[in-house]
Order: sequence, then structure tokens, then C-alpha cells
Amino acid sequence: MSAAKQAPRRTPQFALLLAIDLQMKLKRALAFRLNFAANLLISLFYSLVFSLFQFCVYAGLRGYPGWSAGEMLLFQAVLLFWTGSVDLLFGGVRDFIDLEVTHGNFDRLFVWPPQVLVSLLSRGTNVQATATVLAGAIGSGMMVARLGVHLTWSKALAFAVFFAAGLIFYLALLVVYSACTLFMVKMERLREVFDRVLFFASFPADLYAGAGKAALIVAFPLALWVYLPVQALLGRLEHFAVLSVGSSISLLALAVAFWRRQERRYVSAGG
Amino acid sequence: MHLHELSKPQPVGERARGRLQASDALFSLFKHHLKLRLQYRETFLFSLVLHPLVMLLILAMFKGVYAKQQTVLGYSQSQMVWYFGSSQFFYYLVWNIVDKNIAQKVMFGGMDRELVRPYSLLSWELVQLLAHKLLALVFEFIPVFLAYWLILRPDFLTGAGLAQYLILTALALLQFFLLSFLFGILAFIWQDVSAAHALKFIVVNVLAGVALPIAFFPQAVQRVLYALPFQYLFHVPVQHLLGRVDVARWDAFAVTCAWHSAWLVALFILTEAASRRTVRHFLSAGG
Repeated sequence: MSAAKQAPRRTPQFALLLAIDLQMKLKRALAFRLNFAANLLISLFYSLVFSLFQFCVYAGLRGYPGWSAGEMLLFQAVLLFWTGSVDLLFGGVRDFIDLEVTHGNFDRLFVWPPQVLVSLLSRGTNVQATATVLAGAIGSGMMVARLGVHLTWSKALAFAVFFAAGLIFYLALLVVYSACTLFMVKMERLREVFDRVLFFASFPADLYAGAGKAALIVAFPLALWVYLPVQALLGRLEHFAVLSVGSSISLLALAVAFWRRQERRYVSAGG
Repeated sequence: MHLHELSKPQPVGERARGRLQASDALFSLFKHHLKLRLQYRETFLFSLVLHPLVMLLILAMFKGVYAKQQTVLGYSQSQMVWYFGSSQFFYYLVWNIVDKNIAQKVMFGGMDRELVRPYSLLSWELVQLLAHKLLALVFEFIPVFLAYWLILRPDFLTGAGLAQYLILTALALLQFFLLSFLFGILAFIWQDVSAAHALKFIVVNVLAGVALPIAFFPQAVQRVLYALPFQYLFHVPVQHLLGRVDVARWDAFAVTCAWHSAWLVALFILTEAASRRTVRHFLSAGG
């Protein structure tokens, strides 16, 4: 069959690529079983400890305005679910691009069938985060039941929308990080800032004084990661919270535009 | 000189010259890493822009908290904000990824080259790290420290406190380097040691108090954390910076340094012993 008659090759979907990467990572992890088992335990332990010491802050600061202890436990469980989910889906993206650019292997992404950005974002799954996702999901379910939250379809839908918008915002940050790596190569500092950002999202936005809360919901919507999904479950969303969904989509569009610009300027050997 | 002559005892003068050449070589190595790091100087600019913004976020967070109270667990507002801001200084001056570097060379090749250099792996990694941290001190710590000063004046700060903080941080740099190196050389046996890297986050954020002041933990947990050597990585130095210990008492400071040094010596002995045992397991061609 001539090349002209061949059916056009379909590029794999993003979700499919994620699934394939997850499968490969699982196989690789099973080759280093001891490390995998230790990693599962450590990541679960770290997530639990992280949630626990957030609770220590709650106690040390004599509570947060408008949050009961039970509601804070729900917040911690959703935080666990959130951190586990982003780690499971995109936890290795930063490592991947750092290695590819530093060792000069990034060019090969340009000859892969999917778009470069799609290839990049689908190669960073982290199978070790499974335990954290499960712990977060079980904890959230238990706390919803204990708090007697009447879970309606509208609440569940609002939770899903804000959670998905949170993922979109996280992707926007990852795209900006990757675009910067193309021309800066060494990104240690930005990595640390990236991790610090999660720290601010691990407190209710009510804790921030003045315009800080509005900024965290609309301008730089960190509140999408944990605060707004929990507020959706508890049925006490602010009216302007929906703006955060719009800003997360806009920020992703801006991030992709920035990526395209950097991609055009990329000349290999570190940009 | 023939190979068999290497085993003969050398005259004192030659030995001294040999040591001089070794120190010259290490200094050249230091300069080499310094130049290498300077190629990526744009990354330092990130600190100057982003970390003051992070400090502003911390300030916004604690303004609300301190509206109702003067102190929280003995920390004034400026001390608390600076505590969280200073966690960034830990990353500039102490944090390293030596374990990851070693593990990558074991897994993906390159370690055989490291092992035949005329320096030990430990010296090579340490010199590289020192060059990196010297640049971080000049281009990140000092400017960001001044930026923090403009954002929130440190009413607690004294010259003695700052000097003691820097001395203790230098010791912490060595301590964390040895710890990372110890985790890294486990790759000779297990190849993939990402679990150890994850363990480092627990050490840093929980046991050293980088994520949260130790005072926030329950009393029983605090007792355990104060008995462990990891508090020297961040908690102890930052207490001197924040003036939460009597910085005028240099004798007490000397005792702190002595304890810290004792932990360092113990860790060095452990690292050396582990290094000799683990390297025997190394096989080139990917471990």
C-alpha cells in the first residue's frame, strides 16, 4: 500500500497516553519492588503527617474563623485527595522536563506523534501516589458521612467542577514551569516556589486578611485546589467563586500561549 | 614514578607537596563548578522576584491571625512571618539533591567515571555543592534577606544573632550533605532510591521544622524532635536569627556548636563506613 493510501495516523488521546504512562511506571516500579513498597509507605505517611500538622496549626492558632474541627478534618482529607491526585497524574512532569532539557534529549519530543506539550504532560505520572489518593478518598467519604453533609447532585457537580478547574490551574503552572525550563535549563528555585504554592493552598482562604482572600479565589486561584471544593461540599460557596473557574481557564490559555512562544524560540542545546 | 613506588613511604617534603597539589586540584574543581553554575545565573533572578512575593503572602496570612492576639506560641508576628520566610533560606543554603545525582549516575550510567577520578566521590560532590551554595549566598540569600527586611522590618534581629545563624547554617549544610550522600550511596545496592529522597522531605519538613515551627506540635512530639539531631538543620539556626535564644551568651552558642559538631562527626563515620560497604555492590552498565 502506498503511503498516500494509508489512513492518517491518529494521534493518541491525552487520557490514553496518561494511562499508558501509568502502566509503564507500574511495571518499572515492580522491577524495584523494595523501593516501590517503601515509597508507597513513605508517601502515605508523609501525606498523613502533613495533614496532621496542618491540624496542629489549626490548634496552635486557636482555630480558623468559621471552621469547626470536623470541617477542618474534611478539609485535610480533601487536601490529601488533591495532593495524591496531582501527584498521580502529573507528579513527575517537572523531573521529566528537567532531565530531558539538561541532558539534551528534549528534541526527540518534537518527532513523537502527539504535540510536544501533550507528550510532556502525559509522561509524568507517579504510581506511588495511589496510596495517598485512596487515603484521601476514604477520609473525605468518612468525614462527609460524619458531618452529616447532605450530598446532593448539585453539590457533587460543584465539587467536580471546582476540582477539575483546580487541575486546569495546576496544569497552567506546570506549562509555565516547562516553558521557563526551555530557556533557563536549571529550574531548582522555581521548583521550590512551586512546592511552596501548595503550602498556601493547604489553609482555608478565610485565613487571609483583606484582599488576600479575593486574590486567592479569583486572581491566582489557589483556593480551587482544596478550599472551594470543600466549600462546595459544605454548601457555602461565595457567589463570586465561579469566577475562579474562568480565571483558571484563562490562565491555562495564557500559559499555553507562553509555551508556544518559547517553543518557537527553542534552538536545542538548552534553548 | 612506577606503580610499585607508590606504595613506598615518601619523604615528608613530597607528601606535603602531594597534599598541596590535592588542595590545588580541589580549588580548581571549586572554580570549575563555580563557572558552571554561573552559566545558569538567570535562575537566581527567580528568587529575587518570587520569594518576596511569597513573603507577602505569608504576611497576608498572619496579619489576620495576629489581629486577635499579640503572640502565637511565644512568637511575635514579625518572628512568625520571618520564620516561614526563612524556610526559603534553608533551600538556598542547606538543601541539596546529592542523593538524586548519585542515584541517577548509578541507574543511567556515569558512575564508573566518577569512581576513577583522583578524588573521592564525597569530595567531588562536596566541592560542587560548596560552589553552588557560595553563589546562592551572594546572589540569593543577601538580596532576598534585604527584600524581606523592606517588607517587614525584623525588630528582633541583632548582629550576633545573624552571625550565629550563619555559622550554624554552615554546619547544617555539612550535616544535610552527609545525610543526602548517605541516602545516595544506597543506590549502589538498591539502584532506585527515590524512597530515600521522599524520606528527606519528612526529615526536612517535620523533623527539622522547615514547614512549621516545632512549637506547634504536641508536647510529646516536641520532646522527641528535640532529642533528634535534625533540629540542627533549621530549627536551631533560625532560633538564633529570630532572637529567641540569648544570643549575647556566646558560651551557650559554643555548646550548641559542639553538640552539632558531635552529631556531624558521628554522621561522617557512618557515611564513610556505609560508603566502603555499598560501593562493593556497584556494577557498571547501569548498576
